[in-house]
Amino acid sequence: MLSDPIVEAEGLGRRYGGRAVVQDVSFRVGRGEVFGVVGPDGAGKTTLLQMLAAILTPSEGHCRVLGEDVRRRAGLVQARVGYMSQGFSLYDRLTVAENISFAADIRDVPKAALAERRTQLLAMAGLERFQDRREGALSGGMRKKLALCANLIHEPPLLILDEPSLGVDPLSRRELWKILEAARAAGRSIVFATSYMDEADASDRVLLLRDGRPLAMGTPAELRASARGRVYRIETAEPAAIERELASDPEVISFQRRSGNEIRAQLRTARPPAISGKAIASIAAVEPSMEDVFTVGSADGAPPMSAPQIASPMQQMEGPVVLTEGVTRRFGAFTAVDKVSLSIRAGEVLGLLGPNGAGKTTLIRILCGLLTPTEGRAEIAGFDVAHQSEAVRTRIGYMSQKFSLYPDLTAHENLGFFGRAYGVARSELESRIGWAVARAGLEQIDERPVGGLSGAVRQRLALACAIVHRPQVLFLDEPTSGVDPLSRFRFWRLIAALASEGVSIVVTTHHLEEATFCDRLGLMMDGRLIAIGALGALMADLGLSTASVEDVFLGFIARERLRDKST
Amino acid sequence: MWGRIAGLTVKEFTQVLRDPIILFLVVYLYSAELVICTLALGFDVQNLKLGVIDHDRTEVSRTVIQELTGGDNFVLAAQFADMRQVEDHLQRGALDAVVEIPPGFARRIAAGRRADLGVVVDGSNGNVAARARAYVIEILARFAQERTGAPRHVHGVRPALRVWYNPDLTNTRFMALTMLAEAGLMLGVVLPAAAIVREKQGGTIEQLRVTPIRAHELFLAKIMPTIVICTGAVFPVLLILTLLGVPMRGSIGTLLVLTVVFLMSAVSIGVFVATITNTLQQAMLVSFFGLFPLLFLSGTIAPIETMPGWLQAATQASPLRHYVDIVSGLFLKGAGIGELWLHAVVLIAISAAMFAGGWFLFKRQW
Amino acid sequence: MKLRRMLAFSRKEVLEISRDPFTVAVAIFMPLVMLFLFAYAISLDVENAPLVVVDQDKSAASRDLQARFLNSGYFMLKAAPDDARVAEHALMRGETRAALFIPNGFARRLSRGEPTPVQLIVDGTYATTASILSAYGRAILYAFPGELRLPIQPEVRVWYNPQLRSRDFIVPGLFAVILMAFPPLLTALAVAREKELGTIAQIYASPMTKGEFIAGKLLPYAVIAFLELLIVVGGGLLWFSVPIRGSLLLLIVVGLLYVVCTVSIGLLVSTLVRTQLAAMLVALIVTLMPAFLFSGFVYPIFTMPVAFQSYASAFPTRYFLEASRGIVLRGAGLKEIWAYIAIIAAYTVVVFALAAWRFRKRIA
Repeated sequence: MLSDPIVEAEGLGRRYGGRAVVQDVSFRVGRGEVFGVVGPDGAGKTTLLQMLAAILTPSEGHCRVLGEDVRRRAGLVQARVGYMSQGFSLYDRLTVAENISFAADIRDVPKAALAERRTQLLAMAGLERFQDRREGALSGGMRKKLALCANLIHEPPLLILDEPSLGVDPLSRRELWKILEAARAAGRSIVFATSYMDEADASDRVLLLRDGRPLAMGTPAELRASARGRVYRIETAEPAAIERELASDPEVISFQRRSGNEIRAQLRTARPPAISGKAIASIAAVEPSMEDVFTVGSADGAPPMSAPQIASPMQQMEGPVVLTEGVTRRFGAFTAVDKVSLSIRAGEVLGLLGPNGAGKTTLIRILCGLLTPTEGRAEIAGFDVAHQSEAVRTRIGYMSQKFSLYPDLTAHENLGFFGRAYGVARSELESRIGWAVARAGLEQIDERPVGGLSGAVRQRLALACAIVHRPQVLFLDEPTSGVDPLSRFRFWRLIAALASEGVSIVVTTHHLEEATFCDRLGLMMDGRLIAIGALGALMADLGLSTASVEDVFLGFIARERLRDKST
Repeated sequence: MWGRIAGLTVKEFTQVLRDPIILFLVVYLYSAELVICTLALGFDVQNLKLGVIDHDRTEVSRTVIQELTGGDNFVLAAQFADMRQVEDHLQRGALDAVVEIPPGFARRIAAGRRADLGVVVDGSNGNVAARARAYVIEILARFAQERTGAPRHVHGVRPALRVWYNPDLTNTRFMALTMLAEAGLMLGVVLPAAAIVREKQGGTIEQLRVTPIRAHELFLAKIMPTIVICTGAVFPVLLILTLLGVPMRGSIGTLLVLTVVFLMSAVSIGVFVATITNTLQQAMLVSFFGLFPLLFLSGTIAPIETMPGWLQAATQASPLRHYVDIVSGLFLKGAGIGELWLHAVVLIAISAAMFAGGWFLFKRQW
Repeated sequence: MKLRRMLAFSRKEVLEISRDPFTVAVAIFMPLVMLFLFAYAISLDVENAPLVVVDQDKSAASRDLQARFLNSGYFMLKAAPDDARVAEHALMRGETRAALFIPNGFARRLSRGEPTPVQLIVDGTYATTASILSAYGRAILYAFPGELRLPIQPEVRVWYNPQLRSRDFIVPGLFAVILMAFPPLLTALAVAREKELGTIAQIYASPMTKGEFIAGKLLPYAVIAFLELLIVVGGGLLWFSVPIRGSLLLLIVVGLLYVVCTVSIGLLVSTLVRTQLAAMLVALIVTLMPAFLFSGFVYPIFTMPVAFQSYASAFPTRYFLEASRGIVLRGAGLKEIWAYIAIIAAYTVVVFALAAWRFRKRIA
């Protein structure tokens, strides 16, 4: 009985209409095992997990959970598992205590045990002081932790979690995982879905899912072994030159710049990249990360990316294109942006990093003319954002985190609309659209309404819509959220191409490794700009010689917190 | 600026034409709903159930009964022996009226003396009661005059009654016109509200604010499809109305112009709804319940003069009330601007004020 | 069926409702608004209709005739021009509902016993009003001259609503319409909201059974609907002084059954839709529209074409309407309305069974 698997899935699949959302998935999960289902948005993770929780009927295949068939004995499965859906799944108008009571009541938690379990769980989640606060008034991280508590209150043998750390800041994410570790130590099995590839490393075994199909499965070690020999680290004093060479090599799937002088490349075949050795200090094969595994796996069959054509650079401005001086924005007593001064040149890519609520989005909205600064001034291409907003707007492009497109219009119609909205003349419209489409790497434009297109395509379309009028400055707010690593890489190539034509780009992102694609980084915390500079300069400031972006990020935050305490 | 407006308008029209719910509403309200309500709610009160208690049983009493049931107004449900038998039926709602002819009825009439007749009407049936009473009184008055005219008064008043504008006295025509007006109001509110809220809900409004698009350009684009569609709908509706037997005696041009004015007031309500709601579902809920009072207080179910004075005064502010008056005047009465100018002026004033208010609110949120 | 789970679900629902100003507004405020609106604004009474008199005779007899019209209670003098065209214009503008034309020589002909034409023109736009005014107008004219009193004197008694106050007729009907308008909408929206937000997944993936879910949802909304019933009945009877001839207790008991019926309809609707928007549209089409137009509330069913009469019979509103009017106006008791009660009960059972059958603890 000890070896009875907790989950047994065979050939599991689900169709909606004619479309297969999940196909041919088979795996087993044992007692006390942590099983990660990893893949980008639209991979089918939610559908798969819903089938395991017996709240969605499979179209094909079999599945037994805790020994019961999910089709025929769904009620038994539903009663015994703990399922946490994506997003915020509790009642926002009820308080923390009321939500826990409700969860306990509907899960038949014996009254005698309730008090003790509740105290313990809330303490572990750091929510004891918030028992009377409404769930909707908690931060994203706290809401997720509460949802986890609600799912642990009945001590289920199996936890099914759909993207538990989505929308949660890095600190809360660590706390969440601590709770999960404790659960695993208590003997519970955990099946979770995530699009954060690094969380896959925390699992015992991983299933990589792409477009509803299994890409690879195994322990993290096994998966890395499968990509061994295809990932290389290149140290060089001239990273830009090396990048250009890598970009033109068809065997190279993608590459990322790490910590200044280091480039990491993924290849189709297991041999080193063919680049001339002049500025290269070293090339070595390295242990693949989970992202590498995914990239290598999903590149099979995908066409090599064509090198983006670089047209003649635009008329470049002398002096800063974006300039802020002591920009401050207050909302009542709350200061969202606190005396931020920065300047950005033409063709420069600035990455804005910072925890949730640091003021990044507010700053961008000020620069876009959506908010007026309470104090200070900001200029774009020499025009004041507060007083000359019309002139500013024709010169900037903006891409929001949600890829704001019109889902009921086709790609072409979206582009046509935004073109005209930005003042592109009718006669030039078609050629501009063609140009934007090429720049954004949209190989063929689909004629379907945009709502039906995948996240990666919509991302590139949103970019196209933001550049159709050839702006001088581009603002991108979390442009790569939810998109798979390969598409993210391609997107950054497009950004780089635009920058080389002289467009200034301001980007915010949660994927810290992507920050290396930027020329300079700006770190924000509590509304202040606590650091700004190239990655190398920032590392030197902290006294580090090699560091990941995350280390730099956390280092500066720690330093600021110390400073705040001492003042 | 024109390029932006053109782009916006094209987008709005495309989106409206691709939204199945909106399309369904437009088509449904202007066709199926119109026809269904017109045919079903025609309201022709005839063939009321009459119970008869004949204590007299003479030729005269039988003629009276014949007179009462001979026309369309009443049908003879049953004859009863006395009032007690009838009570049960009345209470169950099986009879609409009862006539009781006392003994000695014919004798008294022959003698030239006054003869009383008992009539009971079921007052719980409000639609019917008043009419039943009126029919009875009219029929008996006519009978009395013809039957009992002594030679001195062989001819009395000869009433010539003409019913203008709706000679067969069905509710059909008026119903159809009020449905047209109500459809215009509902769609005039819901379409722009949906168009604006959709941007809010989809998050694209922020994207728009970053472009050079100005508030008045967006405003125009949001209301244009509604006005075009609802005004254009007048033409197929005219056809349907003709098939339903509603005459058009007035000028179509006047109708179109005043329809556009009316729509402007409806659109302003829609804009207001959009500024206070965030999702499409909220917008529709608020539209619907907000419009409720307007729909029923504008003389569509019951004529305005039956309302209490203060309410009557309040309805002067209802654009629907004036539009209904205009439409019934144009179609049924052949009225022209000469007769309708007052209604038109008030409608224009109300619409202009509401429109300005709507624009102000829109601009503030932008 | 575990009581603990069901009650927890109801309790959660009550907490959510009490903290949602919108639901509270719709549940309590809207029925009152509807009650007041309809009771005040909708009057089917025909009285004091504007009348324009063109008296070209100006004799004692013509003035007498005029007086007959104006004293009848049905007509009110709007204007007395000398020119017939003024009267015609007034009709066209909708300023008057009727016009009486007394030609020159009226008194002379009458005294000589000659046929005496008098013209009465009625604006037919509002058919109800028009037909009643026509009938009375003719009756008045037939009865004139009055020296010889009309030999046949009908003594008309109006039972159950002697003053023929249409308000007394409208208000009991409102009970039926209001309770069909709001409770199903609220219930359907509540379930659809859970589906849209995703909180329903938590319920699905739990030991809660179908029965507990349905009963747990039904309970708070049935209670709210019952409160609405009390509010509307209270308002109608107390504020508008609609006299209730039958048993108030019977009305409330039947109302309770009706309320369970309407909430069940809301539940059934919720099993058919996935979004709140769809819930709202379906609920309104399936409940409010038929309740309003096809239940006999304002438009009598018996005048409809047969097809529509059948359509009207398919909704429970008409039966409660009949029962309500019977109890309030006619003092009907169980003996008279048992058939309606039986139909409503059967309807409830069927709808409930359908909702329970369709409901699945699955996303799809």
